[in-house]
Amino acid sequence: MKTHGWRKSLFSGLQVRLSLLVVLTVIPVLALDVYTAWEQQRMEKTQAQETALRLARFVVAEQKQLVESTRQLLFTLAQLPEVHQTELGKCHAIFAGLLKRFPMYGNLGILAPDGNVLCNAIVIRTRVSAADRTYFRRALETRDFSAGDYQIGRITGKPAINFGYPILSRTGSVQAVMFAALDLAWLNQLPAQMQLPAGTSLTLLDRNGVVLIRYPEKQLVGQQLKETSLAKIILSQRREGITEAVGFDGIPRLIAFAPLTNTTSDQSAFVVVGIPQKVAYAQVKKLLVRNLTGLGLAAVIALAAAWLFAKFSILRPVNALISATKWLAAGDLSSHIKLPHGAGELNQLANAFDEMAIALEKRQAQAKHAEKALRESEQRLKAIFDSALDAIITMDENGLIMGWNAQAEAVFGWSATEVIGRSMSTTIIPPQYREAHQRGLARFLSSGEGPILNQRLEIPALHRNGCEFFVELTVTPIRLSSSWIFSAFVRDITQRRKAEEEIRKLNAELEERVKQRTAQLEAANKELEAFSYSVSHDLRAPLRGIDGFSQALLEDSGDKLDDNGKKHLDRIRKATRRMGELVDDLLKLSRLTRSEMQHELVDLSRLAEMIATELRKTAPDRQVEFIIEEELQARGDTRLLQVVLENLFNNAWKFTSPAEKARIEFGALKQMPNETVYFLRDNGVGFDMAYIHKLFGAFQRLHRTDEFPGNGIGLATVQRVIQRHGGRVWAEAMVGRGAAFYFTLSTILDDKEDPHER
Amino acid sequence: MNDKIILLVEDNPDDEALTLRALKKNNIANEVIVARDGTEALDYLFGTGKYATRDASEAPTLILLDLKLPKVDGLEVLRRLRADPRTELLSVVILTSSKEEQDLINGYQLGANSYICKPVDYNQFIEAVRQLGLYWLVINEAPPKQKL
Repeated sequence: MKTHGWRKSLFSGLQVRLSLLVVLTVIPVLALDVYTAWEQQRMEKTQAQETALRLARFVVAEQKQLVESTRQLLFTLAQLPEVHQTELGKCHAIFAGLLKRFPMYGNLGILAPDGNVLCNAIVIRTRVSAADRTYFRRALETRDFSAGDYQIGRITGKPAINFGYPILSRTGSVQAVMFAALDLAWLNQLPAQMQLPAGTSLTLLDRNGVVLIRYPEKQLVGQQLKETSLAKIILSQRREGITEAVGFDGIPRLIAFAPLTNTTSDQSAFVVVGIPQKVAYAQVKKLLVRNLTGLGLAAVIALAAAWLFAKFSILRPVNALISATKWLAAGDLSSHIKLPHGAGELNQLANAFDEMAIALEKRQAQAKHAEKALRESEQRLKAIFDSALDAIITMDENGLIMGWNAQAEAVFGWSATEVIGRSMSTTIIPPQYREAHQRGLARFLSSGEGPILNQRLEIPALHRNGCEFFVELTVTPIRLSSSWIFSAFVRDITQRRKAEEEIRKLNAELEERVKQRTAQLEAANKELEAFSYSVSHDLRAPLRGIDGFSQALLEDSGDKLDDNGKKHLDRIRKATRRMGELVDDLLKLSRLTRSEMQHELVDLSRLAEMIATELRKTAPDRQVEFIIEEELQARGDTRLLQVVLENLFNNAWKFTSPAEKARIEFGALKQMPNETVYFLRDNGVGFDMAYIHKLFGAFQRLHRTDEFPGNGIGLATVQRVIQRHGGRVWAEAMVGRGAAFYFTLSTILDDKEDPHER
Repeated sequence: MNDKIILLVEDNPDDEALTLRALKKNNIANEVIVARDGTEALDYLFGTGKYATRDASEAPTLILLDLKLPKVDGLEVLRRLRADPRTELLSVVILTSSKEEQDLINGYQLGANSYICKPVDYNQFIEAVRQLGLYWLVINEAPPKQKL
């Protein structure tokens, strides 16, 4: 309803406004039209009045002419002797003849000094005296030409003005007075001759306001009009003028008037020319009407056009906009206005609107998507919350429980519905910790400090059944817009504690056992030491005895022995010495196992060079090429590593002895990124890989002693040392093609004794 | 030369015989006193026990001391004689079968003048005895007698 009303008011408003605009456009034109018309009317009026005035003046001028003519006529006549004679019969004929010649005169004649007519042009039946007439008395008084009033002639009964001229005797007395009555009837013909606007009226008014002549309505003649407003104006002015007034016939006219003077006095009449307003303004009115009609028509067309334009060009798009808005408001974002593209503001508005709708649609879709994602996320979180194997509890600033997941129910024995809104302190915290909890909460809320927050704690908690049990707890404060909440992850660690206790116990037992073992080992070690010592002393002493006495026997009683016996004694001695060597080697090996190891930076290249130099000295004639890589370094025990290199070099030296050009190469493999693999390669006799498993065993030999001397302890020693260094040793060989020994040294050796030390 | 007494502390009769034979072979004709355990050696040196009648001021020029001995071992003998002003400057050569590092260290720490490992090879043994006799009895200047 509201929308509808708004829409309606907008509709009417827009159209009305547009119409108003049209009207506002028309008003100045209208005003101009009216003004022009008024101006024209004024001009027409002036023109008409001028026309009227011109006519009036013309009449006045004509009359003046006539008066002058009359004066000359009378002057001339007065000179005529015939006139002087005043013979009745004769003068009548003269005057009658004159009258025929001058039709503008109504009458001509002579008056006796008493005023009686002596002779005139018209036959009169009664006696007529002019004694009271103005012109007569003036003529008598002034003895000169005189004019009378404009009046209706007594003889002719026509409007006229009389003029008199005295005829003087020789003595100078007035003998008679000549008179001429100037007929004013010519005035009636004047307007018609002058092609005046239709309806133009001509009035001759005497000074008393009596109509002497009236064109065209003759019936007004003789009427006393002194009381009419027009007559009042004219009579009061007594000079030329123009005015606009209701004419004597009741028609509104444009009036011009002029006094019609006679020559002698101010006794005058007035010529009044009136042009009907109707006639004068007819053209203007016609024009005005035409203009107004045109204007009105244009205005109507403009209004209609505006109305239609508004309807099609504005209202329709606006309507579309409004309905689209309505759809939009109703939630239908797919409704677009789809106006054709154009430069107009409305098109732009519509396009902008469409864009807005599209943007809104997109945004709504996004919002929907986001909402869906949010819902899913919430579901996910809820699922996580509920399926978590930790109890998750949330608490508000007042210490009241807000959230309680399924595991919390399992851990504490309370269901969510029972505890939500309850104080957390009294629900799951053992009484002895509640005060500390409240203090901690208050402290955090006032200062933001919470030393137990955000870390794992192991503390006792309270089960519904009153039992205390250990939990692992993490409390995290979460800042909401205006408050804090706290989330706690709680894990029942009763089992873990038990397990830990178990582990502790086991550890203690283990420790004890290790101690025992260590003691045993230490004892064994001591025994071994004692054994070694014993071997060193006690095993060698008899050997020395055997050898020594064999020698003594040979020396002392050699002559009693045959050659065979001597040979036997030699063999005994050899075996004894061999046994001594074996004992020595065995002791050496045992020492390697037992001696303490140093961890230092060892310059393997230098050691190798030294060993090579020593070897060369033992057989300067041999052609042996040593290739020793420079700057090979390792961490380990210098002495032990020297033993390793000595053994390997000795082997190589020994097994290359048949070769004419022996080559012994020591270096490190390049293609090993993670560990350094050292190698010692020779081009000696090599060995059969089938016996590789025997290679590093103590007292194991792959060659016969009479071929290559040795006791099989060297590589066992090497392996022993390399193992003590946490490395590996291996070999590759082919019979007759040389052998290669590889070894690594652990890089992680630290200062602690390695496991073999024990 | 003849007044230079050698004290041989050796419990093994074989070794004793071989040592004496080696000395003889090298023409070392000095008087050789043999003590067959540590106690006997100490008795001899300090004129106690079996040697109570002996003039303890007649000190041996050279003591050849085995380490592994019954009762009082060689190191203990060495420690005691170095602790006594009468015997502290005597030349003591440890002559033993042991090549144990620890024995070497202990021996020198206690003031042994030399340490010789008896080789199994008798020829080598003879040579060793020859050299040590030559060195300690001929070349080496013994500490002055009045001091003893």
